Amino acid sequence: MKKILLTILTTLFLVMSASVSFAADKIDVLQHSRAGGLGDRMVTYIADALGDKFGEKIVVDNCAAAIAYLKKAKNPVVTALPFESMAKQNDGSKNACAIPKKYFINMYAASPWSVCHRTDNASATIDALRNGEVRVGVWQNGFYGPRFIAFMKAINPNAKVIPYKKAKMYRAALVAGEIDFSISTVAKDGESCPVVLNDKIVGDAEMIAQDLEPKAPHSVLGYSYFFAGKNVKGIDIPAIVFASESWKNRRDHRYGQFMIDESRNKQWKVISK
Amino acid sequence: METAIVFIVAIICGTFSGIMPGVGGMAVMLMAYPFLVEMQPQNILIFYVVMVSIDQFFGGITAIVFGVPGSSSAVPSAMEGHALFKSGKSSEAIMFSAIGSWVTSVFGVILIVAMIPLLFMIYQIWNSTVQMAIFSLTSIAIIWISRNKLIVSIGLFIFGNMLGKVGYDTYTNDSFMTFDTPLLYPGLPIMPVVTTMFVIPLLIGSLRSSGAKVFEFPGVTLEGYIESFKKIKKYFATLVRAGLLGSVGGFVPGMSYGMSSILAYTVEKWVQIRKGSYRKGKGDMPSLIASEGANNAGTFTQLVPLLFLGIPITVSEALIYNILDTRGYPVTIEWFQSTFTMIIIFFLVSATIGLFLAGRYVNFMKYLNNLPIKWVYLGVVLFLFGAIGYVGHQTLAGGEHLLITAMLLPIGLLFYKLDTMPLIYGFILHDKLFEIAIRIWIMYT
Repeated sequence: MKKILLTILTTLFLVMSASVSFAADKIDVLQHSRAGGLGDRMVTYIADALGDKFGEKIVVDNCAAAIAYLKKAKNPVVTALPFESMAKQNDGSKNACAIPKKYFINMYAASPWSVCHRTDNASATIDALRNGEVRVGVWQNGFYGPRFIAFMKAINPNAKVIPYKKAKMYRAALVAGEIDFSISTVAKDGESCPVVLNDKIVGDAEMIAQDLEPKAPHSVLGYSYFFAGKNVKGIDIPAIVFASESWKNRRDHRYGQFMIDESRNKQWKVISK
Repeated sequence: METAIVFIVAIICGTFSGIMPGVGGMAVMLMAYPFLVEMQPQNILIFYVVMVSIDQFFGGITAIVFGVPGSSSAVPSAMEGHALFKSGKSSEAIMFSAIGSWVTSVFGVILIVAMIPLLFMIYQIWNSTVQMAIFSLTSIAIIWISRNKLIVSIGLFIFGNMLGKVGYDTYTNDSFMTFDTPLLYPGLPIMPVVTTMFVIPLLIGSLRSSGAKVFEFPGVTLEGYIESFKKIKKYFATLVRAGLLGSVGGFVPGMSYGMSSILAYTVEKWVQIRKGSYRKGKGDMPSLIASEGANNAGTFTQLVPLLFLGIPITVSEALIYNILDTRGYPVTIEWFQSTFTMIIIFFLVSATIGLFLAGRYVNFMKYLNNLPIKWVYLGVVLFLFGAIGYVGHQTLAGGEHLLITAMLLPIGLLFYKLDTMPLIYGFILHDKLFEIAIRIWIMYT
């Protein structure tokens, strides 16, 4: 009887420990931005790339809640955070979405910003962009907004930079003719992006921003994401993602690997400065 | 076959999101996300349009009978509709608002089809200056037509703005009253604010002023529906105003059908006050019809920017766009336009089904008849707390949302003698007003 009990207990213990180690092998993915947006796509690529290792998608309200979750997490968990989450607030205080170095894994992806206009807007020429009294719609974000303003002031002091809270608003403003140009990462139907803020031409761009004004600040500027996570030591998340079919088949091809050959320390310096 | 299943499931989902306060169309879209990504592209659009259309019919009923708005756009329905409910006009209120919603749904479709050649011109008019003028006039009108003293309404509007400003603003890169806690970083969620600042004061005020001690709801009948259908023409002018404002408001970015519903309500209430037919606290049928009707007209027209310009103007539409995009489905304007006729058919069929389904569902509420009204209200409040916890739980923040509710409750209790609509609109409108004002300042200086 003792033997039977012992066998049952041992089996139970083995099954339980097996299931625990199985659960621990799974990696959860944190989603902290609205569904359907770019941030959601970035974490979805990770979830798809993990395949059998994928645990569950944990949805939280925002990036601050994601950081709070990371601090408490016992299981392996990974997410993608945008660069601006590391930016300090205007009063110099720490951003609630900023992570400590121990949660930083690696750079993820970036897409250069481009200067775009409606394709059917004949007056939106390069010459107008440089010299005209044009209105340029931008995503007004505490991190990117001042950079866009500095860039445009150097390109054309007569230009007015008009801030919009959401991309859909400045896309509609382009249609309405309220603005002549916009600064976006991805052109939609009916839009052309002749100038790219990059060191080489990508997409349908005709020139890089430095060709317009070599001394313009932020003429190489992208919208960037990095990997963050906890309890994933020994698991090469970037390698898994970049080798996956989900990454290779992504629709956002303007988003590519970023600083991936640089050391983790150097990458950390870039995002934490 | 898949289309038929999608259609039925969308009706069920729309019913669920309409009845459940706080579970809006977006929440249902997220729950359905794993299934949506497997669907044929046109079925994703069908699911959305049917679900949102049905949702509007059911949401109005919950607002009228229990005074609980399922979303911010149903706040006027809760205000006027529940007052009509207390005045013993619940059946009329439900039937007229449902029929009015159906009429304006058809109106919205006809208007858009007729205006297709002019759409591009309308978008050219919809600039920041026009937006600022409309939002400012709406704000002034909301304050002006409130039953409170003017100074009190202004104070409530400012307080609503302050509540709306709580959180971290990516626009200014500053945080306001977050006290360095992640709890307040994303801002105050709308459900706790609407529950504590609008529903609970409304129900307490209702309990104190109402002579009725027990819940009484006569229900609706098919004969009543037919009779109301015949009488709806007396609200012809209201329906035209609501249909027009709802339709146009629905398809302009930054406004959406929620805002257009508020605008239509404000305009109608103002018209009724001018005519001398508006009775404070008794509920006003034309204002209710305008609010509900504009909502429904806008649910269809909000698809127009997506179908004709490729611009998703609501979060749900962005989700649809993303699913199509990531799955490699067509996201060209030509493809969207090719689905237009089919979308119209499904929208009109679902609006008709919604009209009759809502009539059937509402009679289940007769089971509550003769219960003490204070127990019904208590049940409503407990249900709302459960809904807040449930909706918050979806993002692992159920406890936090309930905590915020508990923190706001004492303030809300102070407002039971007031009309708190200016506060709610201050909360909803705050970022739009600030954002557009800054934009206009930069443009013209």
